[in-house]
Amino acid sequence: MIEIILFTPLILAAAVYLLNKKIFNTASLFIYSLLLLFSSVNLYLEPGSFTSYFKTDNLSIIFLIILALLFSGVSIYNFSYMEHDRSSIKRQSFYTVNILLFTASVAGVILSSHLAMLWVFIEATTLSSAYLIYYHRTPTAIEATWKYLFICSVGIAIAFVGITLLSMGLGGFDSLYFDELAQKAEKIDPFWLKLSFPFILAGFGTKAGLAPVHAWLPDAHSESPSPVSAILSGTLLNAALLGILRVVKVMELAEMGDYARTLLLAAGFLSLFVTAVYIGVVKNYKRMLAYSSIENMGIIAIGVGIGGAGLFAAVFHLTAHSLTKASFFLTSGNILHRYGTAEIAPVRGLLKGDAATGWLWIFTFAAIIGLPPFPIFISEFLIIKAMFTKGMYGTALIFFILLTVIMAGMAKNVLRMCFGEDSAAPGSGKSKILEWLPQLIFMLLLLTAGLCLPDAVRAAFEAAASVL
Amino acid sequence: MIPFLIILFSLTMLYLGATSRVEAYIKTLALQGVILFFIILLDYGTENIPNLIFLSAETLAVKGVLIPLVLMNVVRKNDIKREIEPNIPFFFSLIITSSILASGFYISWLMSDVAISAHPFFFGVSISTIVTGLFIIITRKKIITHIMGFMAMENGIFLLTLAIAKEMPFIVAIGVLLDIFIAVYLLGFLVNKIQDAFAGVHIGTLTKLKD
Amino acid sequence: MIGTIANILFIILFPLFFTGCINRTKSFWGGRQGPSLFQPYRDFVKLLKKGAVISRTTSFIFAMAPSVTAASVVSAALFVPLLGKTSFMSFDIDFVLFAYMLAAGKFFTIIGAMDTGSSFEGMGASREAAFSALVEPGFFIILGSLAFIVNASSFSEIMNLSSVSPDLRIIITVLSSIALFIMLLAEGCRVPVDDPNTHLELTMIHEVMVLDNSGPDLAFIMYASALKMVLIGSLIANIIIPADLHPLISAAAFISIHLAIAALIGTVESLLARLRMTHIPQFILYMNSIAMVISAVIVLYVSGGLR
Repeated sequence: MIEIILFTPLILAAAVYLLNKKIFNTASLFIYSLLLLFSSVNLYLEPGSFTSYFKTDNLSIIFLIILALLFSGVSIYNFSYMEHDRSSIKRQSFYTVNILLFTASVAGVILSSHLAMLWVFIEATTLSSAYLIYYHRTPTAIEATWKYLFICSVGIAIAFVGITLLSMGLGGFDSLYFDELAQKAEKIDPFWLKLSFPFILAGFGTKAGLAPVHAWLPDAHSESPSPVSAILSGTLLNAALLGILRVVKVMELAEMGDYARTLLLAAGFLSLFVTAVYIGVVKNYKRMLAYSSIENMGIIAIGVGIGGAGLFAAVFHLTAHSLTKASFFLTSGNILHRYGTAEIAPVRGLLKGDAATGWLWIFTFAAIIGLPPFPIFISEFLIIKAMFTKGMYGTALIFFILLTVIMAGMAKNVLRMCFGEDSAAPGSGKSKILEWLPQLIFMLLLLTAGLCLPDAVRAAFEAAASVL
Repeated sequence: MIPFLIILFSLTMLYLGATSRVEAYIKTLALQGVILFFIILLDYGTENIPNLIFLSAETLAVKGVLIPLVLMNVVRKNDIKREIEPNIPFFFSLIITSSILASGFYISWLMSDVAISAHPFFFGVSISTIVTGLFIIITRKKIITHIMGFMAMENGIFLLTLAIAKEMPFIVAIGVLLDIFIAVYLLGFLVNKIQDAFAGVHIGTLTKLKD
Repeated sequence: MIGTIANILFIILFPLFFTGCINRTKSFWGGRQGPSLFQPYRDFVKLLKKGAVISRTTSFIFAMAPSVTAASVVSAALFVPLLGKTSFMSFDIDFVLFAYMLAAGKFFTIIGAMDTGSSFEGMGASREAAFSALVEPGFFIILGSLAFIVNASSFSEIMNLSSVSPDLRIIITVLSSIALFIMLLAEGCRVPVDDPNTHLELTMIHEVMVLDNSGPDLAFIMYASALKMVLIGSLIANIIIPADLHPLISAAAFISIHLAIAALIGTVESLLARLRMTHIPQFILYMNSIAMVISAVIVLYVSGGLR
């Protein structure tokens, strides 16, 4: 199973590159998404492994299923997105190749059972997504790609320093497999473990979009094409966070959980603060969504930092955020095509102009800020409840205030875009079915999860949380 | 002999902190590659000969020859001569680099009772190289010097991995991987025909994306 | 006895030969035959035979400055171990006296230059003062570190590094040599700090201070600056030469290292350009950084941090 996930993209990518046909590009994405769905469900029912470097466990299977769902939706949306695209077939093929390789790299990160292998795959994601951000080739796209490549490369190098410092503390045994690290956690020299954690947090946190190393995120996610933004926000940030979570687990077992959790809380709150500052003043709705990604990563970090019931909330929030944010970004692609601009001010009257997109925009917004019955409400509620249980009243208050400020900022922009008279050029078409169907499916899934979470799913989340 | 080579390595970092000529940066990076090559040869011992050959060949070929050649090509094509106005004048840059090096030695001294497996000199100099690399990235304005600061940082990371090379040889190999990937991609980005003039670009021009 | 006489002859005769070697190396690089190795002697004698022209705006300071400078450099030479690692005098912490003797000489050069009332000379004087100030900390750090590791404090004992382990000795020798060489370039007013062949007063540092001197004064100033270079070169040579060699071999090694240094100075002068004035402090600061590295290495070593 794991071999299918990792090797098919290579074959498909080679085929896409050689055949250079539009129909095959879209078909290859469909094929891979089906294979991913099939393999991930299979792996859920029966965990597997492939050589000693790749393995699924309760935590990574959740990430894998999120990846599969997201990629399916995005591949459907991509079909109609590419209809609007006027680039040459060669560039479209290269785009498809990169998407395949990128998804394979993210799958590799999720499936890794060895710290260094995880690092290599995160490196691979940086390399494969660079072209995707650069796809539209405008000067701002060049700027965004450069910032992305450079900041993420520095981040990866810092993460590598952290891994090296960690391996200095290993002393006797010399492998970085996660289960071995977990077993022998107490034997790791605490000095090196403590020294390596900030480096790993800063390094992988760069890819995960945690402040203060988030600087590439607004630029990269806003300049890339909408399907790419959806995948980046929905899967890459999760995968990088997985790297951090694995190391946090080792710290926990080595009796340094408090130290790790304090740092995570600090990073989480800083992310929330940064988002609260900027989200009201952005002029570009895709940047607004990117800042919202930073906020949600911060919330997940806070959830892990609180510990206890917060862990379940963090995993739940992770899933909900991925689906919601993907839906958000895909809808923003519709708006971009209809209004021709990515700025907030010129866009008006979305509900009147294009009802499907408009209602999706409002509902996704309601989902992301945590209105019931959407699942983000549940996860944020659980985090606050966990804070109260631990007596961290002040922290909960700050959490409330920051979330409210962020909601106000986003609401101002989103609602302004939706109501009023339609400001698109006359004759702009409405979005076709493939352009709102994936988002609708995501929203329905989220509603189901929020209203009545099936027991099997809840058990899966709890199993994932217990791994941490 | 190895402490001598490491000291020489730290002197090259001092030079990077002080100079404004871009070609001097490139030559210093090549020199660092050669010094690392000698350190690998002398420190490795005789187990695992294929790994040794691979590592030393890679260091010399990629760090010592290939990357400086490509960088020199880019610099000559874009006619970049000097980094004229950095964020901090070069005098203070040298003072700060010296103090980073001094703190690196201080850290070595602090570590000398903790680190049994790592040669303390390795650790202090590599940490100071990494921090100096970051410092160069922060204080310089041209994109090409940012890349060279990053390369210097990578050389520091490589030196750090050499400290545990005996116990975990594959960490060094992965460090090499980092080097090659980043070099290929970052440099590929620069050498691409479309962004011909990008390397000489001032980072002050990359301010279109902001809130 | 023989050692003392050899040292006296060395101090009197060698500096001008040193200058001749430097000039000859520069000519070699320039593809010329160049002046004879003994030309500086002929220049010295020629200058002695001439009369001095003294400006009416100067006072007794200008008249006295060259003599004081030459005297201070010669008396500084009393402390440095010369041929065969013997010095005329040595007592504890004599390297401080050495440095300040040289500084006293420089002080008199400076005030002599300023006494002429010419703005060029004042300019050169201020630059010279600034660069010397930058060189001093590095010099003391190097010598202090060496004193620390050898547990002694007079020159002749400091230069005796045989009690230090070979590993450390290589590091110290190479680094100190590099740092002291930079000091030599700075104090001896050579490229890349100061071009001795320039005729543009705005770009001069040392030359412009002695612009108004002539006749025997100029002769002794030439001699003094050459002797200063030889003294710093002696420091380098003493660090390199091990202490337990037969005196004759040691003396021969000493002189050959001096000739090598002269050739190196000539090469550096031919191959490098003089640095822009604002970059010279960085260049000298580089020497201080190396000095700091030396002291850090020694401290690390002594406190047991190295194997």
